[in-house]
Amino acid sequence: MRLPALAFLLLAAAVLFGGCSLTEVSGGEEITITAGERSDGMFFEPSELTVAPGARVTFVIKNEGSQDHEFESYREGEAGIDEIIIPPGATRRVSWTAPSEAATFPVYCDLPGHRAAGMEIALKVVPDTEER
Amino acid sequence: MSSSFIITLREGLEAGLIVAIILAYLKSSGQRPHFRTVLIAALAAVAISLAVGAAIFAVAGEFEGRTAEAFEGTAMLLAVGVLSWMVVWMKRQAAGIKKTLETDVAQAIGVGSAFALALIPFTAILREGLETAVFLFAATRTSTPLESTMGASAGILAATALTWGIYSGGYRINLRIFFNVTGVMLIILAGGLLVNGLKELHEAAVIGNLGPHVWDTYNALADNSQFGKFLSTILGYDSSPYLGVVIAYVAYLVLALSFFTFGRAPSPRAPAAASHQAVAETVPEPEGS
Repeated sequence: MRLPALAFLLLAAAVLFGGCSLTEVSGGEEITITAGERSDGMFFEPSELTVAPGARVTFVIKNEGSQDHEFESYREGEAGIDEIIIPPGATRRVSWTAPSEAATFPVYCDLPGHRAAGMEIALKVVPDTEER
Repeated sequence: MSSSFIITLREGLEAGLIVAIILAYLKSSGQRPHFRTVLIAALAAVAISLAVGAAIFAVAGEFEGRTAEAFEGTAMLLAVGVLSWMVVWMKRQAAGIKKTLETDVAQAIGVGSAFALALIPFTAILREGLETAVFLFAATRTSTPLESTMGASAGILAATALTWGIYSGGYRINLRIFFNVTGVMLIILAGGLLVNGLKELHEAAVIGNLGPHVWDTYNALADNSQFGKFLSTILGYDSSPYLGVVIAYVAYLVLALSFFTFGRAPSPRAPAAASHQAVAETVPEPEGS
């Protein structure tokens, strides 16, 4: 077998069988969030989340609606969560590490009109000593 | 990092070869005093390209939300167009670029105009520099600033080393193979930029509807996993792409690769002779030969 073909097969095998952490998103406590639409607007449920400083968490976002939704918080001064699209009926996972100090970040769907319709979560980083 | 590296390596080598060809011609025709004019013109073009690149990044930084997405999406599609044109143009021009440059330089020296001489490397380098600025801006939208800076710097260093090696006569590479391989790589990169550009414009509501999601491979390869992000940057990988994006991607790759592979490369010579002569022509003669 020629060297490039062998290298490709080894890489493919590594990705498929040994490198799951390269192809999936995981880590820390899992926090489930649902997204969708209802008669009075659109929602993330829950609309408020609290995590400890420095905590590693994985948000598991389920889109139970009939439209695409996004999950993000990437602008200056926000949580640093890159945008991800969640198609209708699909589930997406986002890992995030909280900063070491107390803070509150907005996490939202940035598709036109969705944030205004209610798709925003208050993501609070609260020390253990304070009431969560 | 990978896309920034390929872009600056390719564009840097193109710009370096232009300067090398002109300097080699001036040296062989006993016109060494004009070296300074050529180098100053080349440096001026690089400086203007850097300024334009900085301006693009600065302007983009002023935008937020949907305006930023629209700006980035437009820049990505612009980069796809310029990149595709550049790859095909270079393939068509490579065989005769040395003769064209030498003729232009001889004419400029003949009329005794330093300005006319300076204009030749200036315009050629400026074109490469502006292309690089647009490509890098588009490529950095899907990678971190550190990755992009490292990749772009490594590409420029490699291009500079290759150019110097070729100019000094100590290193010969088959430029036809180099430009063919990097040409295909750039077309594949452009396909990824097309996907990301269309998605940005869709999210900015500039493009209303791209159709349904045609499949979902997220559980097999998450596009926000480490490997998924890498493929997203290079190939525009999306675990649940829209139908419109898939059609545009496939159509672009088929058209661009067909045009690149089978498109006629105009040359006054017979094809078999041109393929060998192009390499010899594009590489400056070694010193003392």
